[in-house]
Amino acid sequence: MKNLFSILLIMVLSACVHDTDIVVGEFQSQLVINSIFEPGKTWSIALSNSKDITDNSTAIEEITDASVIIIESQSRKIKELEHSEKGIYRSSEPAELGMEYELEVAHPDYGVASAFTTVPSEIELTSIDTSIVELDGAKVLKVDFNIVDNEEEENFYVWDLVSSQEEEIDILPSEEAYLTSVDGNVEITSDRANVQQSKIFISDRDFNGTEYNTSFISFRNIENFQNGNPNNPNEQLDLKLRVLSVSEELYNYLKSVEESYRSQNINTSSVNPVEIDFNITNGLGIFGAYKQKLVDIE
Amino acid sequence: MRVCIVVVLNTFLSCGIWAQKSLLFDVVSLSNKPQTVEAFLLELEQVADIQITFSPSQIDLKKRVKLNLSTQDIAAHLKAILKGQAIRYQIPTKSIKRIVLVKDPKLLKRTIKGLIIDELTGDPLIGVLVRDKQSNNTCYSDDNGFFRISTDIGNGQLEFSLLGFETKIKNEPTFSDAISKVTLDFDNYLPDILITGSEIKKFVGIPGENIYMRNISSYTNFLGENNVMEEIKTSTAIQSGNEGEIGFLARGGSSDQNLVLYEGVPMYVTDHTAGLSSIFVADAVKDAVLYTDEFPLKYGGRLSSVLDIKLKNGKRDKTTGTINTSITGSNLFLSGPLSDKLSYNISGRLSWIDLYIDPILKRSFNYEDSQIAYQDFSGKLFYQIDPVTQLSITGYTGNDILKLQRTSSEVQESKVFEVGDLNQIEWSSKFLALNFQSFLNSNWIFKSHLSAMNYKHISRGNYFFNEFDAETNDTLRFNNLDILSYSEINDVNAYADLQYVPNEKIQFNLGGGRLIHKFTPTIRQETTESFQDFETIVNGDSSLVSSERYLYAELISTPSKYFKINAGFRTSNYSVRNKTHSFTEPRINFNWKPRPHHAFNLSYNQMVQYVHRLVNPSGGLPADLWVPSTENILPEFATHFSFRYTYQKRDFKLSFAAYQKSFDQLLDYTNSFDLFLAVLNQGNFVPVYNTSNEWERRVSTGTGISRGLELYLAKSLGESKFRLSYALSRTTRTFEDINEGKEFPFRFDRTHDLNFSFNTPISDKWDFAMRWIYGTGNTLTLAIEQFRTPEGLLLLNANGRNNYRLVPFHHLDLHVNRIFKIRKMDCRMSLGLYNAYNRLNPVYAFLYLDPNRNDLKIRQVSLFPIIPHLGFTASW
Repeated sequence: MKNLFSILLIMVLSACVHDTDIVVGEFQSQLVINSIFEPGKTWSIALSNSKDITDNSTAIEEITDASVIIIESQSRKIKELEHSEKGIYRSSEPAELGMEYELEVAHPDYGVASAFTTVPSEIELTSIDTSIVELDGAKVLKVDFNIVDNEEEENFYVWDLVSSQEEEIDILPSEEAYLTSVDGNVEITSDRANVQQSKIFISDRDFNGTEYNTSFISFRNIENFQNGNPNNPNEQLDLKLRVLSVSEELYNYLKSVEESYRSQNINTSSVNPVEIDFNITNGLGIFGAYKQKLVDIE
Repeated sequence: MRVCIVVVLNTFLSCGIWAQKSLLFDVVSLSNKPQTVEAFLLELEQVADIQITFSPSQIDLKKRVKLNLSTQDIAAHLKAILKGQAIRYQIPTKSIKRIVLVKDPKLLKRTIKGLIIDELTGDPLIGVLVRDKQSNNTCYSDDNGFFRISTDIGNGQLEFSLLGFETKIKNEPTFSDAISKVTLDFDNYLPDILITGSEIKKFVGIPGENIYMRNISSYTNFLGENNVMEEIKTSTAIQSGNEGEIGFLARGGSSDQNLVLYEGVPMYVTDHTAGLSSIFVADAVKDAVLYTDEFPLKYGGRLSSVLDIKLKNGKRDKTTGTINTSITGSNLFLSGPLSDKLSYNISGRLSWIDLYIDPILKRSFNYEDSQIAYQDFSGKLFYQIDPVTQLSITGYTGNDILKLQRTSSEVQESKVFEVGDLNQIEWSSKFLALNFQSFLNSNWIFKSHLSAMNYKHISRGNYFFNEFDAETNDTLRFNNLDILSYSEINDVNAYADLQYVPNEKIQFNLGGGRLIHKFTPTIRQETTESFQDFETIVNGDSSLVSSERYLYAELISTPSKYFKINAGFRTSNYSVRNKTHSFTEPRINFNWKPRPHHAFNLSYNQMVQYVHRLVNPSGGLPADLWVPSTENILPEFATHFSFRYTYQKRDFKLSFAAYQKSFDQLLDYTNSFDLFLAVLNQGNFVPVYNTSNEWERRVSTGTGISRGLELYLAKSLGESKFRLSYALSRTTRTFEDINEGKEFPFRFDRTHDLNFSFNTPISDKWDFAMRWIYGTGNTLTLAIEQFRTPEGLLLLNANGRNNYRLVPFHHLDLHVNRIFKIRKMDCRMSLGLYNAYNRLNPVYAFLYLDPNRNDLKIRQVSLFPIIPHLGFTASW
């Protein structure tokens, strides 16, 4: 009787979990356009499609037969891109500083997708200073620097630390989060220590046209860097400060990807995932420009 | 000479006029024995030496009359002799000692005003049908139990009826000119009455659905306890179902858009954890009136509905009580007199679910610490200063705690891994209120209210992951995440209402008030565990004080028995941090009854709301952060149109309604991941939320719209009764920063909502009830579109907010009552089955990757499977 009572109570008072197949109706695959570019470098646009994650019979495919053109907004000059390999379309002409571009991709299965972006201007950094400080019992790297902001345009900045050894440095956020900032103007992060991200985001809303001082802290284990020695500040650390000035569309995209990495869509109770901020009309992906500056950290 | 003649004539005339008037003041003595009207008139002529002329056909001369006073003035004698005959006396100017009697139909009627009281409880009865049996003129008692009706003098007969109560008939002469008191006695115990006074009120255009508390014993929640909040879900405008959710949803609104008043105090919480119980002890409640449209102007501050709950005043002749026990706990209600004018009502609830849940959680689910407990206590002192003046003081305190904590430890190779989590929710609410009411005279009613209340809600999640060296015990890695959501509100509230009722056709309502709030909304995340108490952690750095003032004016006009109109406006003013918002809310309602049994209602209402509840947007630990409108966050606003047709004849009722409600300045979190999600990222917990003041930066504002059709059907077949309510609706939201500015379904959008109930007596000792509820599943956002980033990584995209719908929600509840007596106590044993066919209705769901099969599924979490319940109630 006692066991029966216990069983009844367990049955009554415990939550029940069961799994069902996901049925979301007809899935419509979309065109995915990825193009993050720098002025002075040739265009490179990657086309693929999206897939239903619940459908194991389909895969993400590269799109090799689309029509891809870039239109310079001021002159309306059209550049047609040719497919080179694996869904990547290239142009021999580079993007130019300060120009506004429109991308248009047409494909019989996906219709016409388009996007706009503006290439940001040069970045000017001054007074870069680094120090090793102790925080929560760990030795961390603190970086202080100034940005001289361009008054004539709205600027969006992203910065992080990169290793000098890397030949090609991705600009997208990563799962590894090790930076934090005490600057109250940065976005996503707080004014409290210990909130870590892979990149720091800030817009010039509060310092347009002025020289702005900011700082951040890296929790990345100093000893992991080649020749890095926190006990000897004079020894060169194999690090670079990377500051990106990005278009507004790319800024919003990078921020939403950063937030997406801080949440999980699977195996948690989070059923409302972060929305990625795409700037593609009738598609997914990003068409955005950036200008980067790399400075050795000493 | 001419002047003298004029003076003399004027003097003569004046004397004549004065003489006419003085004739009526002449005191004479008549017989003190009963005799006919004709005999008295003859005697008066002889004794007073006057001539009385009249038309015999207009006066009942044969009527026998007895004078209470045999010696009085002529006017008084005439009034007494001709009482009930609608005769007016006139004195022709040319005659000094002649009185003419003429018939005046206006004198045939008088307006009777009175209070209708429950004989058993002493409480005013609302919605009593008062009918003049001669003219068939009708009216209903209002929310004060007050009525006014015109009837024939002398012949009038008033009938007082209310379903569940004995009908009473009273003759017109028994009513005085002052406010009369009428008492009605409860007819019999009807545990499952369906067609209540609420339907009658709605039928004839009295706003609000009144829930008679004695009739809800079968509409219990899943654990066998009478529950006010469960009963209101039988309304077509309120969503059924929603297991595990506290509060209720009305016509596309969220749960914070409902104004719930407890003895006039706005409440921020109405249920205990997961809806285990409401905070109201049903036996202590006198009235629960629900408004989902036709909002009276005295109510404001919320967009979707008003639920006005009042406690019983307490009988003044004997002590009564009820005790109710079930598997989760017990509640007690006591009421009685302290003196001939002072009475009390106390009620309380205590849970004991912890006694047997705790061992099970520890033994079967490895929790090392658990607490599930809730309690309420209400006390009311009612003082009847005089027959028309009353004062009451009410206090309430209640709280909830749900806490689950566990740790586990594992040794792998030379390392020890320690993982633990703590999930805790608790809330507390307390208030003290003073209510005063007085009938200043038969036309004016004055009410006032003063209260202070405190509400707190705390959610806490603590997660840690530690790594030690097994040999040296050195800490290799220490990760901790402590997340706290804290919401505290302190309110001081004062208001006054004035009603002016000059006659039965017109009523004016005026009033105003002031409500001061102090909010402390806080979310904090730390990577070290804080062992301080919540108040110290919060430190008040997010406190906000706001003030709300309002005035309203309302006209209720009944120009004919077929037509009634309520119209007015409410103007309010809200101040916070040197910013003031002002709004005027016009409201108008038309009620038309063209033929017996048929009624139409058309309603237009505007409502504004200055406080908002931000909820954890996913299905995880609830946050319940109450925040005010600020200089950056405008108040929410709604405009509501509704139309209703009702047909009711005897024991059959059919009602059809259509509505549209549009919302503005709604609040939601812009990025909607779980506030309490502890993300493990290479062993580093990453808090993704920041300090308290950032909530303003985290929310977006948008609009919403809800449209629906509602059908209600109720029928009695002998003593068996059934009721069906069905709503077809669509509710969407549009936010510029969410879903790319495109419209998306509201999280609780419910296309179909159906509630069917049936009850019948099986014998004089047994009765049976069943209820079946069906609702379209709630929505959620599912990211199932996979795409590649520029670096070739794979991410998931949700192609729209709330793009997925859970399976429909439905369950069947069965219930039997056995009624018996133990000595003088009326007892009831209840046995029931909640969710009789064990439908696993999902409370929330998430994507789940089965690691063994590498297969993606929806993992649905259900809360309540089939649950038997047993309860015992004794009343004396």
